[in-house]
Amino acid sequence: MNMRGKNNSMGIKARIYARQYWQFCKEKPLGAFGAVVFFIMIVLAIGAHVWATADPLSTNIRYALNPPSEKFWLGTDYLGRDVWSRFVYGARSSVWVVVAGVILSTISGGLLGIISGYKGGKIDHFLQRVMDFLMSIPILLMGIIVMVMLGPALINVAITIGIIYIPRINRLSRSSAIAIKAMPYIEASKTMGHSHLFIIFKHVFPNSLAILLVYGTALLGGGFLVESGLSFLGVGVPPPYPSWGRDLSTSMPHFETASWLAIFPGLGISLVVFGANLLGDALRDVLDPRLKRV
Amino acid sequence: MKKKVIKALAILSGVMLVIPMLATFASSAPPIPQRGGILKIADPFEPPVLNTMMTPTITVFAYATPVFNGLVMVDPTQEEVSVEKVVPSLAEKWEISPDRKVYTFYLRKGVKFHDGRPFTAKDAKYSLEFFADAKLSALAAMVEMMEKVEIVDDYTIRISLKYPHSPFLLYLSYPYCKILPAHLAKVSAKSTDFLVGTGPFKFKSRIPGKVWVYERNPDYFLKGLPYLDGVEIYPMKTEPMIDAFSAGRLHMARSIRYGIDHKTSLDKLRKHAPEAIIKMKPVGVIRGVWFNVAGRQGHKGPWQDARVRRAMAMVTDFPGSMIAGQGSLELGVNSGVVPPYVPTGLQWKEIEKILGMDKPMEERVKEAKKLMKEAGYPDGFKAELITRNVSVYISPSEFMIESWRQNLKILVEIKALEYVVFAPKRDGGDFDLMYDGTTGRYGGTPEETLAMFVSEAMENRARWSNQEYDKLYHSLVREAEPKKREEMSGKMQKIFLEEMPFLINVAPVIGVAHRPSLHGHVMQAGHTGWACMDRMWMEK
Repeated sequence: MNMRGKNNSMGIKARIYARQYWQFCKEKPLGAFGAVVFFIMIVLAIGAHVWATADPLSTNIRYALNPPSEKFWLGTDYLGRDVWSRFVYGARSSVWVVVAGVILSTISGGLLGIISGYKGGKIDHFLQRVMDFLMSIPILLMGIIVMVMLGPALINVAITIGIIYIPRINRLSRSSAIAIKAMPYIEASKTMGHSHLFIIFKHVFPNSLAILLVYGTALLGGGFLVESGLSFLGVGVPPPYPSWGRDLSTSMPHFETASWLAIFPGLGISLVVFGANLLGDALRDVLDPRLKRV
Repeated sequence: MKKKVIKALAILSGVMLVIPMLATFASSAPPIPQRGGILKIADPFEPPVLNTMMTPTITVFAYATPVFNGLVMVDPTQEEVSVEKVVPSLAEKWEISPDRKVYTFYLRKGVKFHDGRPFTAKDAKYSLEFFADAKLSALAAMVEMMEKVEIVDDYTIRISLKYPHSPFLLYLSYPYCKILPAHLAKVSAKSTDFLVGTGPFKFKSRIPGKVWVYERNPDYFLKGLPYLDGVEIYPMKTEPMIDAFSAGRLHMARSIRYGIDHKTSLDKLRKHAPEAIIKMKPVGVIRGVWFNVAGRQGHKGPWQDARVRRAMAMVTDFPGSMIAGQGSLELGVNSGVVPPYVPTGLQWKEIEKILGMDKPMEERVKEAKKLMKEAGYPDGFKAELITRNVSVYISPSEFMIESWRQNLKILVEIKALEYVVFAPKRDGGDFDLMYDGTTGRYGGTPEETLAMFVSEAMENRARWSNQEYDKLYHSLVREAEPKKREEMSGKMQKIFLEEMPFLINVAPVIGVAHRPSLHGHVMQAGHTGWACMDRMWMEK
């Protein structure tokens, strides 16, 4: 295919996607709003070094607790650090840990669930009892326990979020695997002498992926809440790195005199969780075959 | 007739001169104490134990002070804390041998514990041995010079020291060293049954989390005291405490915490209770960054080089770091190893000069970079700093590491840990750098903090060792002559500043607010705030 043909093909694809997105917006306006909010968050996070007007770690005690102004768009904190810069860099650390955590849980929980559902028997019993135990522990409590064991570090927050959501993803992928296991092509694959590992990675996992991705997206909102909750409690993102949850926590003593310290991180958390939840719900509604109109 | 007029005028003039003088005298004369009233105090915490020697914290003192006495005490009517201000308490007098190694205390007769049992030398011996027992007492290191305690008779004890120790009497006078009843040795310090002493108030009752009630001890050994009928202590957090005090429901708010979190509390108090008398005094701890000079197990670090530590000190904005931790310059003082309010403590200006910090920041950064280059770290290094997960520790840590990052390319990762995780690391030397404070001291003598950095001292978290420093310390404690003491203390402080095992930034303060109607409360610098409650009284 020549370049002109290639460009035409890409143009056609772009138009198709745009039409699909427009259709999505018409059918699910709230989901679309959620997608926009989430997109803005991603843009802020990726381009934090562009949007920030100062080093988020740089302190200047002379400017401590200044209200929003031309120089400091969202004011300064108790160490004289620029709140706007900490806001955008906080978005980056939050997005990073949450997305990494959700990917970790999707892959590990997904695989565990698939193995459990596909193999059945004693492996299934054992794995599901372990998952039952993990699910019985409240999310935040489990997060605190894991963070205290691993120690305060950005990567550990991502691992913690991953561990927290493994049981939930596991349940979903297990039921998906049980359904796929009964399909004729699986039987055919077995007849052809393919190994279990082959069948899992060639058939079961790819066919479960869509639903896992949708559910993973729906978990993003919860992931942001977990991350900000852990940071608020002082066991999440370690100081002095910016984090909406931690910045919200340290703003509490100054709420009466410097309320901007609490308002902006709080607003950020609320919007991103709201947007992620709306997007996740909309995607689930659109992609779940049981809810599709004939 | 003329003589009569002159005489009358003279008398009238005299009266007119005398009356104003009498009025002035009357107004400046101290008010006469009034008996009666229940003093209502709030404190932010309830004590985990009630033995001040086991857990020498401000909270424990608040609840134990009404009930117990020491052998001697720092004059509760004076702010100054020094050997000269030590006055009798349960010991009515004492003698010191010419070699200053033997102290003989003559105890008051007829004193009873609150359960009616008599106080005798047996109780004094038991308490002093408890104080010196490292397995039982958190402050045993303070009195390691005590060799033995002997009972001479029922009302005389003799303490022998291993060597003459100038501040020994002062250490015994501190509110840590309470006299406990020997017959209740088996009672747990966690139980309120432990609160049986000789103090001006008897423990009466407690509603957990609500109130602790104490009533006057009618058999108190100082006749006519205490003036108050009783004391009620309400455990409540700082914010509701400020609100309750401002609303007139409390006579005293204790332990108004220092720190960035509580600056607004203090502002609120000043706004809503402008008539309150607020007293801020150093709390007897010093805080800063400890360097693991001996190194973590198998892990050497650049901070083991004194030039690196000095460079890090030079680029630190100390007043800024104090604001970062305390919220305001009025909530602490920049300090050396001997706080400036302690006799012979160097003032901050002198410390700045020794450290080269009296120069402009640009010059300091230049010199610091030169030191780093000489030490072999021109491009900085990475390190880990542990601290408690509390804002008054995290905020100054964040501030200080930022100045090191910006000026010397030293990248420090902060690990804010819960106390149960932090304490074993601190005690085991499992850290590179650590932001923490010393244990509280009363601040009457330089030895109290200087002792913490002697080789092998348990509190020497930096595990630093300097022979000359150790030698000077052992001479200092034996020396009584003030000028020589000042000289030795000054030399030790200089050695410390040159080696910098502990980069001190602040000696924080603690506050007490009380109503103007409360009298007899004298706040001393130091870990507990005050010595005794028997002289407090309230206007009706």
